[in-house]
Amino acid sequence: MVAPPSRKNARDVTTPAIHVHRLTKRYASGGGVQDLTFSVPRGELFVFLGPNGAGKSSTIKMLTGLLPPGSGTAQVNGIDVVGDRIAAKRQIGYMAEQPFLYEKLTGREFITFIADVYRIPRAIRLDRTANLLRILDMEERADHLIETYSLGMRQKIALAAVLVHQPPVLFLDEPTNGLDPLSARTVKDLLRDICARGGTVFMTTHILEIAEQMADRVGILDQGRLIGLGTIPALRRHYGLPDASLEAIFLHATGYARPIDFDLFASQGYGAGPAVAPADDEAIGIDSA
Amino acid sequence: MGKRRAGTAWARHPVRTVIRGTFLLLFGMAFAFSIVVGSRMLILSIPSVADRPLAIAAFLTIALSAGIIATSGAALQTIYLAADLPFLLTLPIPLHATFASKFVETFVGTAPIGFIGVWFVVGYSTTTPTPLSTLGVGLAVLGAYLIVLTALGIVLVAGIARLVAPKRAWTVLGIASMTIVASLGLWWAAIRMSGASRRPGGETRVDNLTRPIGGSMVDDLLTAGEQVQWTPLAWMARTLTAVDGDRVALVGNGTLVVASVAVSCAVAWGLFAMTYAGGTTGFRTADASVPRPSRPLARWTEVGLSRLPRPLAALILKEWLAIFRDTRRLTGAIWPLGMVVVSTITLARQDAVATDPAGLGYWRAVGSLVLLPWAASLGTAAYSVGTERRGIHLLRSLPVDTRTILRAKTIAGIVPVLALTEVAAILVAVANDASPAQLGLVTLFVAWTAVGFVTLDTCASAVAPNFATDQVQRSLRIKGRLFSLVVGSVFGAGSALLMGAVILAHEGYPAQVVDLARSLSIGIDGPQWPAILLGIAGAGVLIAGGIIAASWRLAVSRLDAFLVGESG
Repeated sequence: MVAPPSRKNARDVTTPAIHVHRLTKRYASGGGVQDLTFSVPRGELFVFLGPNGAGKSSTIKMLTGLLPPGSGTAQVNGIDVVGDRIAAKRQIGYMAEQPFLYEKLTGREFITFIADVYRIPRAIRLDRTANLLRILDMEERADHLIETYSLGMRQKIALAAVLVHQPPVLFLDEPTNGLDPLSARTVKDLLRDICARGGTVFMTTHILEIAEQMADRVGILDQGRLIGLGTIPALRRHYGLPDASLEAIFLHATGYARPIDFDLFASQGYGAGPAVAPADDEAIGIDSA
Repeated sequence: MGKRRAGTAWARHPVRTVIRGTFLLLFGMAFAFSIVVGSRMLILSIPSVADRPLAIAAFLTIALSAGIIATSGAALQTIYLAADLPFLLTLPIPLHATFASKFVETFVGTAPIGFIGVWFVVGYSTTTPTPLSTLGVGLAVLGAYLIVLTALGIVLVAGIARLVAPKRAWTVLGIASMTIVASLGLWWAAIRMSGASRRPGGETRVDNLTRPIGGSMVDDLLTAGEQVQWTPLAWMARTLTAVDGDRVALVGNGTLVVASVAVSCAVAWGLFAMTYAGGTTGFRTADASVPRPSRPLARWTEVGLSRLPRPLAALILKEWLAIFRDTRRLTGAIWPLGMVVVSTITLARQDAVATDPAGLGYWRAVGSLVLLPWAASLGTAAYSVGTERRGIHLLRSLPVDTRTILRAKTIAGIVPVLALTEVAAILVAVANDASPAQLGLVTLFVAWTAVGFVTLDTCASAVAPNFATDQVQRSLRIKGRLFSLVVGSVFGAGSALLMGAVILAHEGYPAQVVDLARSLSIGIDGPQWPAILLGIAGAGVLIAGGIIAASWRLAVSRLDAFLVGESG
């Protein structure tokens, strides 16, 4: 699925796919990221975790050239994302949490549009589009306007558009958002396959089970600072939590494992007592003919 | 948000902000002053005070027809297509509260008409013995007028939602809007023609001083006013003109105005209440129910664009597909399109051609054709960047530079505007018995202005886009509109010099021009004329080209700030 490295990059395959040095961004309203330094080697699936507002999206936006950093540097495949913006963008595919799509185009037209912007030859584009639509189970709806799509379909078309030019580095913000279990499985397998073929995936997710299943390495961001970085076993060792799940590591690392007094909310209205839960034997299985 | 933006701009570039603010203030004042002077001249050119309500009523009628198109587009977008509607429908908000908020939102769309109206009223009040009272009543009447305008826009859209099946609603709205515009054009054309046949004897109600500078138009305005004196617009006009003396007329007409406001709002509310939920779903369903877009058209355009660089062609194709499938975008083009239709009808046969044997009569008759592209581009190109909305973030993430994006939007705007206005120009030219050379020249002139005005309006859309709105008409900020007006005027002036020189070179130098040169003690011999015309044409090209180059540079830097910086 992934294009071979260009001749220029092939000279130095040890160049990390992503290299970030003291990357900082502060907003007037507060928040942002501080002093981020890390590298992601080629072929790795890197998952960025963090509570809401920790700075994950800001980091991705800086790495994809959508947000100018306050200070520090960021390189994708050795190309500075600020100094050589257009060249850096040719190396990446970016899918936002809420994908940017043109509602009045059909799914197929949208993929074609992206492929043409990346100058993919027509025959290759047709071939790749057909394959991606088949893999993502979007063939039937590909010629409908995007505005008629469900959230999951939008996600799949956005992913297909990101993959049609086979970028060496993928930045995906919550790629399984809104996907049904089968599609989510397909996307996870697809991303792993891309990494196995030398591509690099940098993704964020709030679903820690997905991160645990997929990630080669995990970065944990909290209040704009990188507080944990490594493989899951390494993080377990670092935090002294043997056999802990990623959720336990995450909550421990971010200090979010605090008790919450739900009475503060429930006492204001939900006073009718507990609901009657269905008994176990009420579950009914319906076999299709 | 606005305050924070202004505050940031002030902190970063205080000098630039002061200069820009001063310029905007001066320009706004100059614009307002020209409206005040124009309305004074119009009113003072009517010798009989009794005739003034007629002129005002006619003026209000013409503005109303234009305004309904604008407000129906705004009503459609705020009431049936706004992004907050599905959420609002789930909340326990009383329907009348939703109506009030949507009414106010639609009302805001009348701001440009309101701006002109305020200064018109100021101008009018200076012609009366009681300017302050007239101003107070005038502003109240203007407010009533804008409310009626808003209500009628809602009535039109809600009526269509009520009476027509959703899948046909878009077509019917388009036809209704075009019918209103075309009816206005035909009505005005009929008045002009009847006025022209009535006037040869010189019997007009306009004083001799004004007659040479458009007196016949004022005369026609009075005729139009007579034909609408039974409408609420005439009540408004009579309320305004009765401030000076006739208290009974003031109270009587004022009461009728209040009643017309109440009735129009009640009808709008009634139709809104009947159609809100169904219409919202219906228009949305109809909007989205294009299962298979026109693939031959898409294919045809793709082939047409195949010679351009790939990213540029892809952006142009995307732009066309997005515009022509988006009714929201098309509503922005209804009024400019109507202007083109009306102009084509009214310019189709002019008496001036026959009455001026020097050949310049033809150009006097059809000359305003060169402004048609401006009207058309104001409804299309001027919104091209702002209507990207979230799509701007997609463009930011792609490996395309700012110039390519701007170039694509410009080309995408030029082609339909050029096609439309060239057809109109050819029709008008042929109807006015143009020679082949005249026909060729007029098509060249229209092509020149189409390219120029669309480029400038695309630049304006990049200078001050508003990505955060659902309404197409609001996707260009007021600063962008002023920018478009200023640079368009400069380009128009440069083009006028160029075209004037070309026309004189082609038609010969009329005696009046030679006499004028002599009267100004400019000793020009015959052989010097070509050099003079060449100089004028060169100056025109420099002015027109210069303003395009400067605007393009500014637009690229502004769009760059959106694409690379944080402002996007």
